[in-house]
Amino acid sequence: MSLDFLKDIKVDEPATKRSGGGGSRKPWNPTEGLAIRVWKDGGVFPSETLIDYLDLEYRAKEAVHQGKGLDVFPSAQASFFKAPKPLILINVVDKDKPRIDLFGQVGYVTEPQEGEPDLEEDVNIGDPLSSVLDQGAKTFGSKSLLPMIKEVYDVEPNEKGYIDLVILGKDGPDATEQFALPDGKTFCHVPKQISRGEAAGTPIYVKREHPRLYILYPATLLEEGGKEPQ
Amino acid sequence: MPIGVGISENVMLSKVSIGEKGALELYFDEAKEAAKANIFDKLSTAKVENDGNETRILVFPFKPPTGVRNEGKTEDELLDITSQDMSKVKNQLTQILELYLTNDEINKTYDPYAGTGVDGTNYRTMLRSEETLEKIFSNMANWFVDLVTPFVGDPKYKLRLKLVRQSKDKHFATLPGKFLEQNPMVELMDVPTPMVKFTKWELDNGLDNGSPIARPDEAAEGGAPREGDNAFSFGQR
Repeated sequence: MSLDFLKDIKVDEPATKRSGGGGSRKPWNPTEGLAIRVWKDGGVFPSETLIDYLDLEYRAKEAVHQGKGLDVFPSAQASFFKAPKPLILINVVDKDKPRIDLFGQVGYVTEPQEGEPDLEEDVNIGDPLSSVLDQGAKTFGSKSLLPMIKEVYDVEPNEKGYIDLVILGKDGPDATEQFALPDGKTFCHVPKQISRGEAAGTPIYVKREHPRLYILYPATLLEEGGKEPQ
Repeated sequence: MPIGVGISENVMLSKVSIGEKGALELYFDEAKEAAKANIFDKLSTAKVENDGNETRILVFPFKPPTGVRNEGKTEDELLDITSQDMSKVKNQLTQILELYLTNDEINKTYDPYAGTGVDGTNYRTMLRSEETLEKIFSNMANWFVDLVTPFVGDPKYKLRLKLVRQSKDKHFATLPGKFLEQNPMVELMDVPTPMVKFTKWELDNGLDNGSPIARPDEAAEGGAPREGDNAFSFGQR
């Protein structure tokens, strides 16, 4: 499928160049490029390259800088994003912001209770309990992302049980150019849903300042259209 | 028709000012370009002209809690009342500013205690002083006016605005004051799914009703209200 549609998208701001990286990883993560693998059980696993590029990794609880998470939403629900066809978008957001969809929350190591074993030598109180590389995020993956991929792209997990999604910037898979807001605007409203309580499922919008927007696109559709942007 | 109690769409903040007695005056009006007729054209036709549909909402300076209902309260309780008053105004003004600016832009110049001498060690005493409270309010009002002025009167920023009834006794419109994060009082019309709505509590307590209601003694006896009658007020000191 052609990437000509990228030229028709209106928004922009330059992003930092991605760092190098990659290499062999656990089988449930993509091994190349800026990508996310979504398994049929909803597990969501980023590539190491993506983690480095978007600063997704979890830090110690008391760390001043906590890194980034992702908003994930259909472009059809984002009135500020004009695209010639439906897409899934991500916005890179500080982890301290509310209602982050992916890589926003983790548990931390606590003081062992009576009867529990002591902490291992290289483990400290306040360390994150898992890495974003293998956390999984199954709830969002199964309840929201898989249905969204099906609805927007009509793509389902392959015979090996997963879908790979690549990050596209305005320039394509290199993603050195993010999409940004026009006319000097500094914030937008991204769609969410209330996840708990009586109002669960109710659509709402949250304000996001200085958004960093990219497209999340199935690798299979990219391969069908050629890897280089038109 | 002036904007009143209820939810109004496609309105704008048309003017802001600080009145003679220090109150912050917020004016809301329909969000449209004003047709500017010159004096010659205005006088050419004998017709009663609409002088403007702006609704003015006043935000009053803080005052120490006084009066009969506050007699006997402890210092902590009085401080709590003052704190709630200040937080309410801060939240209202901040929510309006968030329509136009990012949080770092809003906070860059926020300094409510400037020129007051209030700090973490003396605030319990200082916040009992009317003069100090007036100065804090003045700082907040000027901060707000400075930041919001570039956007005032610009019909590009269309708003969805909720005004509530002041109290069961007073039918005049005012800004909501509580739980604004979960139940915002204003948002941009750009937000596709409105979050500005009357809450169940507001509906149950008639705060969505801007109609004047006759006081029971007036309706029964046809007389004027008596001093001290204020059985159903909300949030008043």
